[in-house]
Amino acid sequence: MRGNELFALIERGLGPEAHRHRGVDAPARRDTAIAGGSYRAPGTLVDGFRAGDSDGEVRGVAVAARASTAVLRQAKALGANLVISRQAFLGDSLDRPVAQPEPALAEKLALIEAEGLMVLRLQDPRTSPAGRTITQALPRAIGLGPAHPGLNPADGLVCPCAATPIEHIARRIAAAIASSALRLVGDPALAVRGIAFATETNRPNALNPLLSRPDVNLLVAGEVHETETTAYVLDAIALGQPKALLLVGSIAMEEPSAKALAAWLKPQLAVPVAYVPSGMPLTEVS
Amino acid sequence: MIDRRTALAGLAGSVALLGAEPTFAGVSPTAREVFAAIRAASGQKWDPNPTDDRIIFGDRDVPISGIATCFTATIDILRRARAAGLNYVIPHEASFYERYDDFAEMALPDDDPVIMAKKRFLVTNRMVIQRMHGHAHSRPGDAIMTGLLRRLGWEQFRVVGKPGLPWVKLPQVSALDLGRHIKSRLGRRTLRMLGDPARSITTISISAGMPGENVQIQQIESGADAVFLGEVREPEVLGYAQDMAASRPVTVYLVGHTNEDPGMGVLAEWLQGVFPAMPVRWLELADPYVNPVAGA
Repeated sequence: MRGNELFALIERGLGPEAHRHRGVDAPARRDTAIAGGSYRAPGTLVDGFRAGDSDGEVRGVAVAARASTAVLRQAKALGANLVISRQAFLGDSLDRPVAQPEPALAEKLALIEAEGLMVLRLQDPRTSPAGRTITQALPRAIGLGPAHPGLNPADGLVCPCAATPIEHIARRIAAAIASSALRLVGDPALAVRGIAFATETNRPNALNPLLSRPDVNLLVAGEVHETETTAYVLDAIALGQPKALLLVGSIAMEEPSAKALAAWLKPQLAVPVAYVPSGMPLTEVS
Repeated sequence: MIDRRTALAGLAGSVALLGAEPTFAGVSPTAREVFAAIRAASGQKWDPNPTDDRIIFGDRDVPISGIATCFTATIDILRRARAAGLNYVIPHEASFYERYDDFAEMALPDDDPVIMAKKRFLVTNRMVIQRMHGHAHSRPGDAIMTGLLRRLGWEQFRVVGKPGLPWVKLPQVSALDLGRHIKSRLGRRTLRMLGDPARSITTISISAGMPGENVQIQQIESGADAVFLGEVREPEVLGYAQDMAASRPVTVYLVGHTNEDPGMGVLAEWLQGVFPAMPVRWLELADPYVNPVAGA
């Protein structure tokens, strides 16, 4: 099976993207984008091969939250030549090229070239039952039931829950994503009944509508635009609303989905499939 | 650095201000007059476009009793300003949850209860918001960076003559102790760090706020022992550091966007000189974050 054929198999299995591109076209290169391209239109799609020759024969697959240089090396050691990255891995949210790659990026591109690796970005929320299962891996990992079916998963997930203090939820999330570098805006003791999960977070002010829903007390996101979403939740709390925001890290947040994707893919392929933790080594200074 | 052109413009602004001062004697200036005086005193060619440095909300004819500067005009900050009798509020960042305070660009509906409550509070209390972002950065020496370095106690350690973003050179310190210093001096309840806590650090590249991933990646590659960052897009910037860590040591502190807050204190000092007869105060924002699993 070639790389492109594998991608087609995945798309058939996980279904169409939940959102199709509906924003303005982004500049074609990261270094020509305003403010480094950190703002991209909501709904912009990201899936596709972003490095390597996608027509190559697949000998093994590694799935990671982010295809870091260390992950690529580990994939090679495992005999995998196709790496699936949930998150951006080329220094840009859309994995756009840059005219003069910075040294660590140049080293990474050279490694991909030298080892004949293919890297497939696969993060768009998808709509088949299997696609929804992968998108909902984090809520499932912390014991929540299915997300509200009426919401487009690309806009986020909303999961009802029995009244639970945020600090308990935070501990479960920390265990599920193997990171304790969490940040909370709000009262850790607040008992929440509705939790929203951002399914892709590099978006301007697109998360506030999720947080403002009456059935949501807590928004869990990898990261936010602090002057927009953090500011909004501060004001909502000041007005007495039972709201909170938990930021868990955009790379770490993808670990459960990467693990679920590997588990779904494994029985379908004749080649080895492995989940490789990205292991973002963030610590809290104390 | 103050070049000749900036210095002359500043002088012209001061002259204009001196001319304007008697207008305010014994009578409260309107918001319109306060904004005009700030523009004139700034000595800068005022361009509201890049970051929307304009009166964002409020009646321009309202008499102004005092000025508050802040990082962002949260409802809590507005309440504190009202309690102190300060009805002209100057935040560094946006006030209505959209980076340019552009209501047409907001994902929230116009009748969002938080937006409505905030507007109602401003109208009821005859308060005015005027943003000052780009023109705070372009004050001589960059008021935001000046305030940050002062708060960190690093002004005397700044590497002189280095172009671009500032470096400081400190007596050798461990990465963990440096992190503790940053956390303590900036009054932060959380501080995330990437890298070996025991690594020895001497030089630090510093940026405030959120200059974008291109700039932040250049910082990481600048050769400094450690990098001090505000807000980052994590897969891009932190991801870059993660990749670099595969072959070279790297130390990154993620301090958050609010590291620009002390700079608004510097701005308040300047504004007090512009409006000597009016109360001017910096209203500091507490670190919005806690780590709910720290020590768990």
